[in-house]
Amino acid sequence: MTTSFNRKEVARAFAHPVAAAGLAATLERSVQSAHQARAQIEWETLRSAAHDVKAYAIANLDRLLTQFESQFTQRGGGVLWAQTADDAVAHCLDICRRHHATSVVKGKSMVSEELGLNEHLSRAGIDVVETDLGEFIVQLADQRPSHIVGPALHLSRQDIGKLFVAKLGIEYTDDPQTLMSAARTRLRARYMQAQVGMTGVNFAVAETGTIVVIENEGNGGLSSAVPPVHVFLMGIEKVIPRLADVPLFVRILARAATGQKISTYTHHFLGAEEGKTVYCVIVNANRTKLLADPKTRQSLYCIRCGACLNVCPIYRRAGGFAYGGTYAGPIGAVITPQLTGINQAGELPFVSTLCGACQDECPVKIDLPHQLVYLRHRAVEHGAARASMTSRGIAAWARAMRDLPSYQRSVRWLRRAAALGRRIGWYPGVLAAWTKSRTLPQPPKESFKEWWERTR
Amino acid sequence: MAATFPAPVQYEAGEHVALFLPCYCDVLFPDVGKAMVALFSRLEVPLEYPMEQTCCGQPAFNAGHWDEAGYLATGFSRVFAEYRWIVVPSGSCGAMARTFYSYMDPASEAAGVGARVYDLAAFIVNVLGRTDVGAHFEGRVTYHDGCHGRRELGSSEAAITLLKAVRGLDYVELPHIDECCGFGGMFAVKYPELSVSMGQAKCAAIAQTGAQVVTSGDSSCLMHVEGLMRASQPATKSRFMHLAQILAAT
Amino acid sequence: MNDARSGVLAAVREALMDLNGRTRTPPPPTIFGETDESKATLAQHFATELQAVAGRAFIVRDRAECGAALASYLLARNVRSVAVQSSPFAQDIALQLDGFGVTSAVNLDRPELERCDCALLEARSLLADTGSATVILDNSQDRVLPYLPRTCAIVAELDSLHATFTPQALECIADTASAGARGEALIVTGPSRTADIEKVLVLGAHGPGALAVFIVEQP
Repeated sequence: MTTSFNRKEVARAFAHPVAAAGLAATLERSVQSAHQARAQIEWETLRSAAHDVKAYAIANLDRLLTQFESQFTQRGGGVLWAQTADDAVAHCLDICRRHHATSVVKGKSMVSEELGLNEHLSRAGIDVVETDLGEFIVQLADQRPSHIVGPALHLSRQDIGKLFVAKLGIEYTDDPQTLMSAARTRLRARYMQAQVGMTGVNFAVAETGTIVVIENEGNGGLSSAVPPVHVFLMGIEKVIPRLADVPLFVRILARAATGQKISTYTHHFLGAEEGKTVYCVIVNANRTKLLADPKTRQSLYCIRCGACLNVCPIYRRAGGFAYGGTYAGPIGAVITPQLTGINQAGELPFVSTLCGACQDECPVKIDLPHQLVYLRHRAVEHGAARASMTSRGIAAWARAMRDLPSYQRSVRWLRRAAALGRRIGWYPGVLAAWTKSRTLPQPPKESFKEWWERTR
Repeated sequence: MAATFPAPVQYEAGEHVALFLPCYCDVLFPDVGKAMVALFSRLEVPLEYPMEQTCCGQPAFNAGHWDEAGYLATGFSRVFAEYRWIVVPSGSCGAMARTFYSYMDPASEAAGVGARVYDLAAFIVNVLGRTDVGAHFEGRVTYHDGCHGRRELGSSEAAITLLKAVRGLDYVELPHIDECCGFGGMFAVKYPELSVSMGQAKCAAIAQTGAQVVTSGDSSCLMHVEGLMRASQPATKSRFMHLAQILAAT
Repeated sequence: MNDARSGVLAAVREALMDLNGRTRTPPPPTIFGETDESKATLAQHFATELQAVAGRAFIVRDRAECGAALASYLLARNVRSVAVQSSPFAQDIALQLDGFGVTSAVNLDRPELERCDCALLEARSLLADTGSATVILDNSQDRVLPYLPRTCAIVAELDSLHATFTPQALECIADTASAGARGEALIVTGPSRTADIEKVLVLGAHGPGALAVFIVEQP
């Protein structure tokens, strides 16, 4: 899996203008919905408050994690720690073996995508089915999710109709209600058969060991309630300090994500009831890299609402697959380089105009555009970008700007080059990328400096 | 919006103000500089142009080359060291000085000088305390809000207030005013398919307004959108002018 | 596997070294207050909000009226069998349901629960500004109740209404969390839904396609 920016995916997205326009319109509606929902409440105050709670939680992460572990185990749950993705997968396989599991049902978990968990379970002979409708669809299609909240938004209803004919053997329909019913029926049987249910975590409350999971479909509820074993998968950053902090996040998450006032199901898992075995796998998988750098630390505040994706002009055009990894959009561009390694994903932060729309949307006020430009600096430091033409160009240009005489020489050279370019109708390299669809301004005979000198 | 707006500060009549003119304006759009001179003359604010200035370093900063950017920032701070007030007709260069010099190194000389840089609209409205600059410009005008000016400096409201006070000017709001035009510096040539697509959305929004003139606090945005419009509609009657040029008009 | 635990915690501590030595106190929690509206007014808000998300709300005078209203609702939904949560209030209302096959959920296994047409639950608190109901599910049969049957009926006392997710509303979750009760506290708002196909709203995703709350003024 490559994690640098995938231009072929962009080209593919551009090659389907109708589908692309549909997705862009869908995302625009999400943004408008979110804005309406936010206008009903004291949004700026709440997002500042949420930012502060997350800042505190992240700054005290070790203490809160151990507090959470203690509380969770007191209420009958088992806590397992995973330093790496492999550790986490090993825990999951171990749990399945211990409980003789041949069938697993999964609620939405982005971290499990990072781990490639489904593939590992399948290879161990365990049948694993995604129960969130969007995840179920992309699983059938053998694709990765393209959006944090709506994994299958890149597919049309016709695409899904054809997919269900092929994979579920139903008659063709493109009616979303009918398609949902087909998935519901198929999944009912799977919930009943499964020995293990796995879900993600929205918030893990340190004070009481309570886990909050938020969803609309009810598949999270069923995945956690029906099978006798329930496994929570969470990144270390999901901890919040107190139960009293929950209402704040409940108030802002759905509004940012979908424009709803609240999601249909806000679960607070209190502890393992009789006859139930519960585990929580706490996963690092390079999150401490994000934590260690004060300039990237805020990216751990993310509550995975997807709002930054919805508003990003790049995401809307390029689509989720262009980002190459588990996470797309601005948050994807910010965390992927650290989670998977700068050299692999170093290009992602460059695919942005740094417009800052993402920060405006973020319900926890993460300074995304600043992190993007900082990660460009890290990529250059790592040598990921240093050898390129651009780098050499920048270095040369900075030298040219060092003092006035050098600057004036460069300006004269530029004017001659521009005149030449106009005469022959061709510009080199990067300028060709400009002139393909845009006219180039011609430098006037006299620069401002020259005018100033002449007239003052 | 996430931007912090400069707190109202006291400018004393007669204090000298330095003009920081973006390097690309010096070479490609000198009329913007000339408009600044004319405008400040009418406002009776002594405007000086320190000739030694070259570039604020933003292209290097945005490309991740912070060594080069820091080097240019230091140069910048030496040129403007003695000025209490520095005004720039660019949200993007303004943000570089105000926000990003200190983001790179909060303890640097450049950070200190950068904090004294003001985007044109913010300077006139917040520092000079003026909303009517005595300008006269006939025509239907729409304003494109550059992203750095909007989000890092919070100067949109000031710019629109100034435009609305111009005699004869028919201001019409650009639909999707908060959407990026797609220039983004190197982005424009490294990811041209994305850049052009975003610019086309901007052109479509402009067409919806029926405006004859498109203005902005950033010539870089205008260069990109104008370039796109002239290439796709060579017969277009749209004119692209920097905010300073409209405010300087009489 | 204790290596992983110390490994992760050590990595976290090391990552936070630049913050060491600074004692940090948490910011005060954000509190959403009650309003001074009457319970009756809150009930109206609740009904409006729940209706907006395709749920139904009925405000009834007493248990008898509740039973009658519930029976009507069930008939309209073609419900024949009802599984009841192990809550005294819900059980008591259920006693009035003549002509329906009523069973306590604890007496049913999973496949039997799956075949039931309707779940009957008690809400320990109601949130007026979103039309939400908090249900405490402390055993494994009750836990599947809100999702398996295609219709969900919830009974609640008028007194349990709160303006929003206030500290008082949080209490019923906090009490169970601290007293060591198990299972889950579920805040449910309307029927199950999804928009995963082209953002088109579909009700009755995995959970019930219909949900109704009966608010009893004098329980």
